[in-house]
Amino acid sequence: MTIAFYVFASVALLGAILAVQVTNLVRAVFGLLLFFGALAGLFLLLMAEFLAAVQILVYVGAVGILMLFAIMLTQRVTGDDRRGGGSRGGFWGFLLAIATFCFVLLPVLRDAHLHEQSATGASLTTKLLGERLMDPYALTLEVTALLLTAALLGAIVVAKGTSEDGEGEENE
Amino acid sequence: MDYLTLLEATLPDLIVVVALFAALGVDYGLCQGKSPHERGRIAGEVSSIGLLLALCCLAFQWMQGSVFEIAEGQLNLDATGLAAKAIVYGLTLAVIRFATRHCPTTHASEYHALILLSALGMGFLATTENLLLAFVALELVSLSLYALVAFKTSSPQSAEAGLKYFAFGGVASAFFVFGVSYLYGATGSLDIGTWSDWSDRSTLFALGLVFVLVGLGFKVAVVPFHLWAPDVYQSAPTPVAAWVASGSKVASVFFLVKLIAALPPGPETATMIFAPLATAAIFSMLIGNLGALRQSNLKRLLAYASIANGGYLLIGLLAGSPDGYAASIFYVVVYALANVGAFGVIGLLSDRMKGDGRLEDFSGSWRRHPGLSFAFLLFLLSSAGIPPLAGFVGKYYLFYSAFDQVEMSYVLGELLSGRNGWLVFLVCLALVMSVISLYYYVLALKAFLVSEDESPHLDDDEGISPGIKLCVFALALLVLILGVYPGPFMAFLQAAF
Amino acid sequence: MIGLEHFTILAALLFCIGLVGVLTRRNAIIVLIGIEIMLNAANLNFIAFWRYGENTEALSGPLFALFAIAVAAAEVAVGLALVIAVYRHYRSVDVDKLKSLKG
Repeated sequence: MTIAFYVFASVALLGAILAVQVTNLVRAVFGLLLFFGALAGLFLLLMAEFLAAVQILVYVGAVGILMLFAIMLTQRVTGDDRRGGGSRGGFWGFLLAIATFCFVLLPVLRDAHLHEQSATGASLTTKLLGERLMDPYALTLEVTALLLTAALLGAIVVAKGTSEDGEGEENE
Repeated sequence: MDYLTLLEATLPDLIVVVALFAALGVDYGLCQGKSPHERGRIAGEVSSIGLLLALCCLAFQWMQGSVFEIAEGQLNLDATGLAAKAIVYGLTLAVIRFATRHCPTTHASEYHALILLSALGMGFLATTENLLLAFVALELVSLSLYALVAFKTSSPQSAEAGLKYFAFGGVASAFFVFGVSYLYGATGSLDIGTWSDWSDRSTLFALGLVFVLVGLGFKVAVVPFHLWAPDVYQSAPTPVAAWVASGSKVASVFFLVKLIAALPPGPETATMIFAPLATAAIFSMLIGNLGALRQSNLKRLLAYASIANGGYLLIGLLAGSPDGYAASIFYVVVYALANVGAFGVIGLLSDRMKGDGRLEDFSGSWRRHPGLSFAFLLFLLSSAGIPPLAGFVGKYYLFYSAFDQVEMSYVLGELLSGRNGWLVFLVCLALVMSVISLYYYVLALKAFLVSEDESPHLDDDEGISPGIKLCVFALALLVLILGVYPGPFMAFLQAAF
Repeated sequence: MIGLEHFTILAALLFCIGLVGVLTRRNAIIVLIGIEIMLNAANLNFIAFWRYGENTEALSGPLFALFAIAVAAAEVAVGLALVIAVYRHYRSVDVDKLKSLKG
């Protein structure tokens, strides 16, 4: 368990760093996929098998491919991004991020009970999750359906951006 | 869970959902071949009917005295909750009316459908006490608004503003989720209603709360999360700008107030968020008002003014009393009414023309549109806080609630130390800033009302239906009524806390 | 046995790596990637707090993570659509080149 944690953790960190630091966008997305995969491994370690599967399906499967498509649409097929790949305001950005990190770490350092807690025996059964989803959280599920509708409509209109837009406006 | 209760509680929302699909369906099925303008008008009519029915349904529930509570604080629809929803849907109705006049693309029905979808999200955000539903609702609002801001697909600026809005909003929602994860770690629950019987105050909780406030601060456009606001207000289709400035702000403030009112009692919780919030309020007032002074574009000017207003309404939250919370909500509602009206008038006068909303584009409006210009005067004077309009009363309640919390002392040192000092300073700054804001509001009004020559970018009366005019005048009337006769509404809000 | 603090520290690190990506890179797609990393870090927190918490039966943590995954996927779709819309006008997805709006 310990070894597995450190392996997955370092892979996740490596993937994340690659994803935000590499100039070639396609490689960055592969770093991101590595990160998603390692995170799924960590979910497994935490006994959340179903979420690990969802993570793989949604992130590695859908999100990764979507990003690759977007890169190929906007950067030509290689995804090499030398022109726009540099960093901006690097110093201040780093400083702010490190400040946030110290800030985020505060509770880990100060809250004693975080260190005392031990894992409980429960595991995440898909049946129970499904029941919870239908019982108290049915409303949230419905709102999520609306959210997906909104994303669908919005993404289509914004990405499509019909070329006859100009004419359409003249017609009015 | 009882699904029938759920159905009953969400009936107004279901009507809106049906209306939005009806608008899409009618457009796709029956309106092919019609002009985009005609299609936009039909989609707008369908949406308006849906919203009106939803409002009737809300009124009916309100008269029956219904109180709905869905498990784990997901919905808390008491009288205030129903009122919050009614306010959101009422504002939506105004925005939809303004949107029927001019559709920025050929996708007319999607335009209205997305406005309705974001309205649904705002309705849920304003009435929920559950962090999970709040997150999903917040994202529903955000995703619809990102797309709406970029809806002028022929305009590069619109796409650019959309991407900027998305970049800031995405980071804000990541902060929100991360904050919620800490809150969940500290309390083991997603229902903020359970906070009050939970006594352990850890750093985990404080930090989670700060991160959640960052996420909401972005929505309210409080400094330092305001950078998107001017670009979005300037480049989005004008009704959408009105919508970003009003609906999403009202809903976020409702949730924000709930969040702060739900904090476990005790001095620790008050102090841990007091200083960050107070700093944000101070800088919002400074940057918003001083930034507005040097704008030549009317929409950008209103954007900076909205940042400043975000600062004012934090004062009510900082006061930390039921009166303060009620004052914040009163203020944001009044502000939203005036802003929807102001943006509506701007849109009616300039959306179909080539001008990009500079102040001089509106010169001489009073000749061609005396009624609309007069309404605009009311909206701007209300925002500036001129009696007897609602904005003045809102500010009065805010500042009064803050002063009410100052422990009176004749020793100047005691009066100005610690929390007292912050509150005194905030109110004084807000008063000075209100005076400064008068300058840029008058500058905007000068173009509308004083200038003799008519700008070539001014639209004519054609296509402004009586419905749209009725909307503008109803908003102006509300601003006036809430100014002259604010008592009942304020008492109603105060009863909620 | 690995303690809870291991997971929270890892999540904090990942969150900040994502933040570095958002703050320092100019490419809009990388900004999007950074946001995704931040959201995932929060998900890791949710699962870890659920596993080490007291009220495991309620499953609030995994439920939130599940919804967050769905929402994040929708967010990516809208984000990439915006990136494509910007690219159509500017032939670039460099956020620093988008300077037509000022003031």
